[in-house]
Amino acid sequence: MLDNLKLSLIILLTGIVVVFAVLVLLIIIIKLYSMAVSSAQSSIEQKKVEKTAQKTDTEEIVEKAETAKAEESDDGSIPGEIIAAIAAAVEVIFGEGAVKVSSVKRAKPVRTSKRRSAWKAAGIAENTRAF
Amino acid sequence: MEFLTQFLESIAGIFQSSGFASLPWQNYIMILVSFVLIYLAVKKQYEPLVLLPIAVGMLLVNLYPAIAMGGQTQYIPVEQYQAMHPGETVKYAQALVDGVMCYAVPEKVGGLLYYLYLGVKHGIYPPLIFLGIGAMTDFGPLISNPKSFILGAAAQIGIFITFIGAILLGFAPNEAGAIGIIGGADGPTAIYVTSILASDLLGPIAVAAYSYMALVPIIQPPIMKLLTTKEERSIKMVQLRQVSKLEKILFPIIVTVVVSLLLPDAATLIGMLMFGNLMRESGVVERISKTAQNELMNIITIFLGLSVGSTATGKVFLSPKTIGIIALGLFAFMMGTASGVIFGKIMCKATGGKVNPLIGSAGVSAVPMAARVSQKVGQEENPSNFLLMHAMGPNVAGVVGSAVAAGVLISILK
Repeated sequence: MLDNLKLSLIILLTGIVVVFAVLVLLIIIIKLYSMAVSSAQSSIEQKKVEKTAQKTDTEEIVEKAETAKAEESDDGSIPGEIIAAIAAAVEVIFGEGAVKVSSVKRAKPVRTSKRRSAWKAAGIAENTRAF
Repeated sequence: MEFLTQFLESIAGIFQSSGFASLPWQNYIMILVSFVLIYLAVKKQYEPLVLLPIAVGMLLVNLYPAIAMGGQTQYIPVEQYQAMHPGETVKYAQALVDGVMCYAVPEKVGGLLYYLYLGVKHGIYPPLIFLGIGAMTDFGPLISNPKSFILGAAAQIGIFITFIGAILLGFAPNEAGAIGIIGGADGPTAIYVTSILASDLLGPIAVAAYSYMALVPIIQPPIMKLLTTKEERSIKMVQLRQVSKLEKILFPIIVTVVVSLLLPDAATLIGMLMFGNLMRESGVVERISKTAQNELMNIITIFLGLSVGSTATGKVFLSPKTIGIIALGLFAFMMGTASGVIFGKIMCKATGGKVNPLIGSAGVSAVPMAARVSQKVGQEENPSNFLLMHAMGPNVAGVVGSAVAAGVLISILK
């Protein structure tokens, strides 16, 4: 019985010390990596802001000219608002400033008889999706 | 006349082999206990996902004990078998018995619950449950306020204090360890530790652990109110910061590496918990993450519940030991809650009243029930107070803490 009591005290002390030590260690590690991650992310954001701010008027003019060129390059049947929406969607998907839309072309219309229905297209997408 | 005698003999034979003639009285009491558990699960909805399979497992094993019995194998010396079956293609496994090579010929197949129980016996189900829990858990509140780990650790003190209580009541050290872990209020961890340290006590300990988890809303509030003042319960906590995706992805990896290196015996539980969480947070394996959260979790819950229930046979369950386990389990649970709240008070003082001590009680695992209790008790004092997300930090820290405590107990007592 005395041995068991001695074991109990050992387990009480060991248990409390180890559980607290491990969890306090985790607190320190989480704090450290949270600081590292947030500082890294804020520096990236800072760089982005600086990059945007450094854009000269000349670059803006060139950009506008390119946009105008893009609008001119298609057959003129696509309104400017739709081109702007497409460009915005591309930016959302690939990230701001990652790509630039240089031209928008209307896809060739597919003959109705050959076009897949939405259900068929969904079925093909489901069955050919990579595992 | 002879026909009548044969008829009566047949009827008598059927009666003799029926449960009415062969079951001991303890089994009938356990059948009644299983009815009470079914009632609590169905009518009161106390942890029904776990309690119902446990109750049905308990019912089945006490009605038909063979459902949890293993198969029988006869060992026949190879030469003897070949002499008895000349020219037969032998398909049995061979084993050396008393220096003689024998065929292991299965005579009788075991019961269904015997085979399901192997997942408990070999410690397979609890880590898989942890996988599902990890896939369902958002560790964001814990990452945004890592100090919650202190409360998760504090609530584990009940485990070790109960260990002493169990020793004083005459339990062996390994049994005391398994009983103490009930204080972690974490069913899978309790089952995992018990299956390693004292598998004979699996039935009473699992039933006690899940019963007390179901009774969290009844057990915890009086202790929380007793240990805190009205002012402390009314404290509003500042909103938690947003946690980035990268932090959430790094968290399970770091915790797995740190805990597994420091405490290898906790690696299975923590590894599975964090693997499930990594699947969730990475967002690249949505399909298997959903499987872990739903289908796998549900299947394992059924298997675990039935097999745990099947260990609660009348002979094992109706003993003074079980009463001691039930009482000590409640004590462990209360001590865990109390130590969590006391550490909450200490943190409240240390931060100049920025921490509501009620979130300390959520340090016992029982996710998310214990956090909901903190929210409810806090809102009783101040209806505009929302403690739920703050309490989720200690709550999920409690899961990690109880796994670490389990690792300590296993490493010392195994």
